[in-house]
Amino acid sequence: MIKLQRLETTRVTFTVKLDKYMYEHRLPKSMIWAGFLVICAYYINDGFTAIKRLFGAKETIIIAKDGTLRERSPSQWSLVWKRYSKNKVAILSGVLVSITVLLAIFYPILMPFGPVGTEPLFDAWNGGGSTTRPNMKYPAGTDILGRDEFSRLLAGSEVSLTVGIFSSILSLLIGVTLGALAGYYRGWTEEVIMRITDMFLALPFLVIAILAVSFIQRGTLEFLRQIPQSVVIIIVLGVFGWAGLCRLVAANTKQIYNLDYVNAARVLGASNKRIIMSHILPNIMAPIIVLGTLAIAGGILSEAGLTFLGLGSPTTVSWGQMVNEAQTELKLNPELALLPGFAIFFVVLAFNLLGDALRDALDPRLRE
Amino acid sequence: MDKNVSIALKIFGFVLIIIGTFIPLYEVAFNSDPILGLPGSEELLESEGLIFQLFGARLDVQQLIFIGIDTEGNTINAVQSIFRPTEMASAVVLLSAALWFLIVFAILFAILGQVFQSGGFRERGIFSDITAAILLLGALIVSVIAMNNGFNIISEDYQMRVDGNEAFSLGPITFNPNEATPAYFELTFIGKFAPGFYVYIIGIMMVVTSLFLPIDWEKPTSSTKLRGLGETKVFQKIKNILTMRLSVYITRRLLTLIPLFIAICVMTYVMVNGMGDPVALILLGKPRATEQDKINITRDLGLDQPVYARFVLWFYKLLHFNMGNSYRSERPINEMIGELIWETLKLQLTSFFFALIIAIPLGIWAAKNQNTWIDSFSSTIALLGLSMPIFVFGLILIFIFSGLGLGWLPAAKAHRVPTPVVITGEGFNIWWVTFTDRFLDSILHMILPTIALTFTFLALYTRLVRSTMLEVLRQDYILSARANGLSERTITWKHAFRNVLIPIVTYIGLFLAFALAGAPITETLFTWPGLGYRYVLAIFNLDFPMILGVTAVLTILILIGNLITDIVYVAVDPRIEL
Repeated sequence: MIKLQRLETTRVTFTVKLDKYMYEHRLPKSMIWAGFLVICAYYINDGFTAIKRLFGAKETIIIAKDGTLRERSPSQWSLVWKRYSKNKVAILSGVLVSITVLLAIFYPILMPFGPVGTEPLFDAWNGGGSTTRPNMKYPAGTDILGRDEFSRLLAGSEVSLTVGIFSSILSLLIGVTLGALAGYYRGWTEEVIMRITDMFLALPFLVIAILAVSFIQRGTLEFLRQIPQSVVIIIVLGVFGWAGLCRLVAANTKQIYNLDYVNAARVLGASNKRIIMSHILPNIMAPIIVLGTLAIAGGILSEAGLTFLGLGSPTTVSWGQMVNEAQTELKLNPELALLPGFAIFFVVLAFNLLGDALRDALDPRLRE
Repeated sequence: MDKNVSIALKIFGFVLIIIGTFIPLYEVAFNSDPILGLPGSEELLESEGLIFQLFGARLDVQQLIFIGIDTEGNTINAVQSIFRPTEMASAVVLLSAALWFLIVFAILFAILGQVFQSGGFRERGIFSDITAAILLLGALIVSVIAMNNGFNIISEDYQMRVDGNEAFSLGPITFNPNEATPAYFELTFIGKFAPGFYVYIIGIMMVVTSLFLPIDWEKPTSSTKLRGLGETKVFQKIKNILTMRLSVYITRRLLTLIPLFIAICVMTYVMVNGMGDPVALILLGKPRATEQDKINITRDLGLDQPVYARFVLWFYKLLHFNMGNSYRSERPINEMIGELIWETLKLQLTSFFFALIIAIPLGIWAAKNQNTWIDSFSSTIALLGLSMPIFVFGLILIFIFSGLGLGWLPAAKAHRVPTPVVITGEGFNIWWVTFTDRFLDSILHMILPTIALTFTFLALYTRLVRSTMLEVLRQDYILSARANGLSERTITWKHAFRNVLIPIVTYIGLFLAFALAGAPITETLFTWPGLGYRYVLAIFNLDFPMILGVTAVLTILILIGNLITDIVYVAVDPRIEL
């Protein structure tokens, strides 16, 4: 009975918390994003069979033409996985990244307080109030407005990761599509695409990003101001950050264009779409994956930089903005500025490590 | 036909066009008679003068002065009117700017055509020639349109004002200082072609003719004198440079840079204009601002014009190195940027220098001792530098070393505020003491931001040097050098290091872009009075000319940096194909 009751209570508290955050419109956002990603991955990979095929290095037996039994040679991806799993740093970075991603999705369950509001009962006599030192009730103290720093730290992971991941995906989509088109179709297509790429490469990135964010967020156009802050930053970083990737993909596509297996596919009558999708893109996947991972780190840094400059909206919890707000309190409460700062640092470090590990695993020439 | 005819025509034609752009093509003069019968009109004199002159590359607007006599018999300038570029019709400005571009492009295309034909690419040369001819003819048409357009608009405008149909006067144009109406003068406008126009037309005709002459470019000239001239060292050198693939490449890149810059400018201009209402922000500081104040400020800033007209005006001014005045401090943007860019470059270049000094030996050392503790040490430093947001590292530095902690170094601004005046001794001594004081002060202020920036750049360069060095060390020529028994030191510094320098040298151009674009965050943290900090302030203050000026200057710098990078890359590394 007692056990059951306990279970019941935990469940109740969980659902109460869930309801609370559903009410505050904070929980669904990250979960919707994550669900969206999972569904996308599901459809792209035909029900995860492809993923299973990638990592399961099964020893299938093939009967050759002359009747002898041969072992099927391991696929490229299983080799990559083998190399990756041998590297200790790679495993560590993978664990770190998955922890942060899980945290960004399920953080509302761990949060003791709301990240935006204040609790009226916990004033200075009860361990709360503004800029209190860390105590048992508030593990990281409270900020200038009396909000719980720990909850805000947890909540900031959501914005950081969504911005990093989705801006990277957006720039991958634009860059890979345009790059593959430019590299495959040559001629005028390449000329036009490459000139556009040149234009985006010549833009002073952060300067234009500051301009674009303030244009969208506080400009004169009403419909642009309706867009939530994190989406604005995703769009800006994605739209202005694809140029380098596009160049790389175009160059790689050009290299592969005249290889024998592409020519063979062309002779067999494969359409252009099929050649690009199933012969060229899978073979230039390695640098794209590495750059995409590093772009996540860059996106998180850029988002932090933009919000640090004061371009964030006050209702969105973001690490850069927390650092910005805590600058004035640096002497008395350095933890308010340094904790979110180190949070950015560790997440970016994790993604950078992951990118390096992936590079080592995908391109073993560099480490032998 | 002989090819020296075409070349001579081209050269003389372009000389004439360039001369023509400095002589007025067209001018509008006025002639005024006093209208008799009005009170006081007997005291006014006839007057005549120029209103505007259209050059090939610019538009000159003159002062209009009417002379009258006051009651005591003294001659005074009773009526003055000054045309300012803001009052010019935007169509004229647009056409004038178009003219400028067409001529520049035509010259570039003609040079490209010449280069192609000398290099043996006949078809490409003909294509470039035809383009140049079309551009030149377009320039001719545009200049004629600009003349008529300007004349019509100005005369209509004036007639309206003379007739007193306009309710209020826009600029400082009043025909009578005491009363706006009635008009005392009867104005007649005389538009006429200036000598420049004929020079210009003859130049264009010569170039166009030269482009379409049937010429066999591969045949040497029949004139022995010219052939002798062509075989002199100077001409051989010029020919060599012109027919180099590199110069064709550079001309092509230049041709693509100009539309690129215009596109970027259009994009930023549209975004900046949608940012908000600067008039409301300016009025915010004024007590009891009226609706008339708002109208006046809007008109003064030129914000009552449509966006495209404003863009053309702004761009036209930009081409003449005038970026307008700041809305806030009302100083010219040129001056402000000139001061600020020095502070930014001081910081960026110093940290770049230190980063290179540390990164090159570190990267090479790490590559030589691959997979040892040295390698992991350098990789760790690089990773930390890449992952650490610069504002967090800067905050830690401020927390430790500034007045908040140890109190060793200043944390904000580039100089002491207010600047101290040191007067001890005379002559050289004063200068020396003040100089050393300010110099030391400046260096003290630079230390913290420089450390923060160096740390970031260090990461990039260490990685670059290490990976390039690893790649170079795996090459065959290093193996053969080793097999020949060369010492490890010779191999590293003479054979490997020189090849490592290629990407480093080429990255310097790209670095400029990266550094200048990344300046806002560092400068905001340290409140460094540089381009980036003022840019962020301008964004919050809606200081449109400042935002546009900074973006334009940065874009130009980056474009030039990219161009230099590409050229150096090609020049340094002969393996690259163009």
